Amino acid sequence: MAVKEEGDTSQQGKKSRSRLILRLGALLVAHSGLVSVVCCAAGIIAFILLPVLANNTYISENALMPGSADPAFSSQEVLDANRLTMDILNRGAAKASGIEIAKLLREYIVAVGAESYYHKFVPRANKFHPLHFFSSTTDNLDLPANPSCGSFILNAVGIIRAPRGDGKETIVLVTPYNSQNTTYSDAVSLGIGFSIFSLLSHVTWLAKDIVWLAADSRYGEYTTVDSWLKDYHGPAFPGETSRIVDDACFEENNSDSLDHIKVEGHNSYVYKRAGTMAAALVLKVVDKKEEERDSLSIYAEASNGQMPNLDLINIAHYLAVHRQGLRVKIGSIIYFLKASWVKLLGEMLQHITTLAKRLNPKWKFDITSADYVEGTATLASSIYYQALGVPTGSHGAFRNYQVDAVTLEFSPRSSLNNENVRSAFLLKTGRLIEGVIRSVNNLLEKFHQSFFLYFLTAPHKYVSVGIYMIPFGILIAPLPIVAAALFSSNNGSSNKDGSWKWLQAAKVVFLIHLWAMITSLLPYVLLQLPLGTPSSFASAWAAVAICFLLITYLILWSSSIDCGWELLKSVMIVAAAIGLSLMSVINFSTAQIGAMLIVPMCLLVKPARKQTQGVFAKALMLTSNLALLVVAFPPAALLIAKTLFGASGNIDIGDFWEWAQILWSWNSATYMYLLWIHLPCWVLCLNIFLYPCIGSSSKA
Amino acid sequence: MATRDPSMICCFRLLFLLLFSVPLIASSSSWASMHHNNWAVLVCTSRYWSDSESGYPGFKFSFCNKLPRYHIEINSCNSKLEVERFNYRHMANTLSLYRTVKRLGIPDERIILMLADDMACNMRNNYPAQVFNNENHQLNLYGDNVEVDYRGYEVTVENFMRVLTGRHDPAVPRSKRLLSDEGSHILLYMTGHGGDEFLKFQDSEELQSHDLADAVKQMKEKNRFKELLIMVDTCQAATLFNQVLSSLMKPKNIRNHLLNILEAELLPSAVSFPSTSVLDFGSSMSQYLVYGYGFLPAFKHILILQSPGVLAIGSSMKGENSYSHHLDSDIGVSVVDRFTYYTLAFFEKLNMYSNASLSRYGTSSMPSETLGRKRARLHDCTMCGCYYKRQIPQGLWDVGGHGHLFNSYNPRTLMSTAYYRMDLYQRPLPEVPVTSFFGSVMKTIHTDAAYMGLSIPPKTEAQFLPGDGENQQLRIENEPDLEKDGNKQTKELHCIYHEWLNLLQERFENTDAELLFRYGFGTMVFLLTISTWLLS
Repeated sequence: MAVKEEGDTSQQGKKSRSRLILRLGALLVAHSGLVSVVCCAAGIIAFILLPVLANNTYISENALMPGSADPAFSSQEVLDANRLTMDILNRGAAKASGIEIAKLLREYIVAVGAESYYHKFVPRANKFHPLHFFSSTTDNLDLPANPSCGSFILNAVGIIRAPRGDGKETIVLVTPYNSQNTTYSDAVSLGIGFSIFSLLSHVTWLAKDIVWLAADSRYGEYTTVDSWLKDYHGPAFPGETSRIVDDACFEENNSDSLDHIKVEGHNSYVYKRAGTMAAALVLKVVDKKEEERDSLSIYAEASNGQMPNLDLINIAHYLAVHRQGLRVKIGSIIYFLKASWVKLLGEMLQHITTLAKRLNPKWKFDITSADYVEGTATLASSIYYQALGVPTGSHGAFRNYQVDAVTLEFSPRSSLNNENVRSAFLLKTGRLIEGVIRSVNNLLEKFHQSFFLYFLTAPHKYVSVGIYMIPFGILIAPLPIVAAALFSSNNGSSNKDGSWKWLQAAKVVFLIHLWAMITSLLPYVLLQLPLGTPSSFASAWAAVAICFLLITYLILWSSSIDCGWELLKSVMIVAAAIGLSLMSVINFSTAQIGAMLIVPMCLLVKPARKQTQGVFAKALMLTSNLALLVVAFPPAALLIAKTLFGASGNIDIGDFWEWAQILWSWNSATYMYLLWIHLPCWVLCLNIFLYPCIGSSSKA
Repeated sequence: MATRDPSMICCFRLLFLLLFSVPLIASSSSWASMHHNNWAVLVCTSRYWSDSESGYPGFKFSFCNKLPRYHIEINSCNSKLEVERFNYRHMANTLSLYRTVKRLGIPDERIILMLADDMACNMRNNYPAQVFNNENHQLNLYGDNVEVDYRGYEVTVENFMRVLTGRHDPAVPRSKRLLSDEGSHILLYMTGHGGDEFLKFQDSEELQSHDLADAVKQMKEKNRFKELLIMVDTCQAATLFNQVLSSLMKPKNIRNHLLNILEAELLPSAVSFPSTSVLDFGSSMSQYLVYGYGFLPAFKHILILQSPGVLAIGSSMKGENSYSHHLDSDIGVSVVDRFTYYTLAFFEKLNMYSNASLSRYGTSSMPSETLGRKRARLHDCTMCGCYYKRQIPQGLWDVGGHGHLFNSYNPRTLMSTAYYRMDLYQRPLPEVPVTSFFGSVMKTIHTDAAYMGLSIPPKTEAQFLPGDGENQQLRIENEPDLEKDGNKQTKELHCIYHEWLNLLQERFENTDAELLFRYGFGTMVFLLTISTWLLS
């Protein structure tokens, strides 16, 4: 008896415990309206507060030890750099041929005593291919029908083998230059690259090999670096047809320098490799005038919001600020710097934080208005570039191979033509780069200590994944709750077979998603057609997509699927929640921006004809629904952003095509998000808004 | 001439063996046997050019709070003053000590050098095959001949324990073993990254104070040392000795002894001494005992009986860090730790014949800050308290830093408190020359002949009295394995041979050499003529 009783009580306990959870869930579902309002508001406020929550960066990997060794880069190296700069400018002016500089560089590299070779390739346009998302390999056999010889690109590459190293790892230096139109700053950047290379060729502390790639960026630096990396990582077969074509074409084209090639031997075209890449630095010099000090801009965003390890940015920042006295800048959106509402928000936050600090001095939220404005602008740029999914420089090519890379763009205080300014500038930049290389050289493992998922709000401040996921989580939390509320309310009111009615709604949602998928693949078909301008492509795309949508609706009506807007909304919300969660894993920034648009729309949408008490409430609901539907439509959102951020020029329908083209040519996941998640969600919302039925019960 | 009779000597020696060797071994050979060789075990436990601890991204921690089990409460490595945890300096530390002991006379075969990584040949080293402990690059610690016994991944806790306890695989060569005996003075130097009661080995293991205590105890029981100096340069080094003390002292025994003495004879005031509080002291009693033994001769007696001859010095107290001395901006790493830097600076001024002692003060003297704390804790124990007030002088460290090793550590320059404890050590430190651990300077006994079988000074006869020192002298003069029974037979054979030799010698001495020569010459001529005659 006692045992039975015990069992009973335990069962009861279990029951009551499970009931508690259920009851909590039921409570949330019952108050879904309040919950969604609170969560949405909290999510957006927390997102706005991100610049306040940013932490100072620190060097996480002990082994890096930036700045612990004195730089050996001296005035001798500055002279080297100057010599090469002058040579390039003289020779480049004399001969306009694209390979002249590469040859010159190779001479210099050989003179230093390092290994060297030419890398050459034919640039190909990045075509849209539906199966090529997330895979960076392109068909090597996909040659243009008749490549013109002038389109070859020749890069000079130098390799220093670490004298006592094991040759398993390398550090890559890239200096892009334009061989057709070599500017003075290009020449200076080549000079810096060479001077560091020549310095490293005789230091004794190298543990990793050094590869210097002087990338001819005639057809875009990314293309060049990417093709070099592809050759570096892919196997090269000597019998490959394209190579033979390359060789023949190249030598034919440069018959005047045939004897020179003979002297060097054909060895100079043999692709040489060093070890796996530990890190890569892309060096650039830009001759734009700075106000006070020489400055360094760091670009880090690679494709699909991937970032290099924060430690790499940290060492560059640390050395630049604390050793070389450079001003470090990262990109920021000017609109936010000037917007008065941001300033107002900043001042409010400043008051709140000072108040909070008075309450508890341990709280470290302390931000001034100016800091907040700058942080917001920088954070916005960080999120924008990550969300776009397009790399901000040729460092993005390295990220495809999981190599940490940044672009360091130096700009001098005044014109580089001044001798003193130039040598001081060269000394600083050279020492900075040497310091970074020496730090990376100390590493035994890949970068792994610091963050890979972060936003920067200042060069020395970051928001880590642990912080920025919280606003997003709060923002999308109401979606499942509201879905459950709608589902249960509909189920309770309807008859017995209503429990399976959601399948019909799911069918509708599935068909719309299918339509969206077909729409996303349409450009591949359209590109085969001889349509001239981007605007005609865009209009064709839109027309075909709308046709397909109408066909889908015809199918839906003909099969008389009708399920009531509440179920439809519930299933749509579930689909949107799943889509957003998946996207937040692939590219967080896209998901964040998308969620800010989609979530309010999904939560608020109601049939326009639905009767509600009060004219004012109805009007409010209608206007908000309409506004959200307009804003959340991707082309409309693009237009609004364009006008808001002050981009000039008249709006053309072709712009959308070009914009989509950019996205797919960079294999951006944002394209997939827009067409697979965002667009069907918007269409379904529109569908619900225009739902013919009146009242909550279904027509059928 | 009877004493010169070799057979007599042999018999006497056997007798001596039988009579004296047994009590000698029995009576705690730790302090009865004589110091006759020096060993050094120098251990560098940390790997990599610069420390790259693997961990989770985004969590800035020092390894001190990464460690499992019970090291959580200590967070000392995250102090404001950035600790430079880079491992070149650990190798430089160890090589500094290696250089010192080698220079002061310990031969390479008696130094067990364990280096966890080869910094000298690391490709990041600006100066190939050279290790410096100073920015000025004057002193190459790597030298011309460094004999590394355990290197790289051989430096493990297991191998370290095996070296100390002598439990090796039969295949391990002699050069990798610590072949010390009960007359050995051993210097055990360890450096690396440590924390509260542990020392990290190779980023993957740790040596805990329990392990060290266990090893020392085993060594003691196996008579592997006479005196042991443990020198540790790491964060919170002093904590590493905690268990050594309690394991060797057996607080229970000491407490009983103490109570007996207190009650029976010594202190009239002991009546008022609350025995319960003594009992409550428990295991920590042994820690406090040391401060009392100078006061009570009986305590000293106990301690000497128990004393294992272990002396320990650490670079820092609990909660303190061991800081690097300076950073070499050429090599790009910090090159030496402060404690070892000043140790080397101290020894560089000395030579083999120096009389520098370990400490200026005979008792366990500590810098005054720590002293105050101890005193507060000991306040209920009146005898210890008054002892303190009497004994501890004000300025404890040498300003110039010469003459006394332990006093050369100035907490201001060290930025940590060098902490040593001599609870387990009975000799007064001012009388212990540094060379008794860091060098290999023996007390030599002059004998008339190189080989004792031929002539023994007549004085030895009188030395068989059971005075300690004389006993030891004799034992030194004999071969060390004499006490083993198996050797007796060979000894007798030796004696017969000696008898013949001596007989011949006596003949030579007694007869006229010239006469012998003539006789011999005549015999040779005679033999020659006979042989030629026989041949013809």
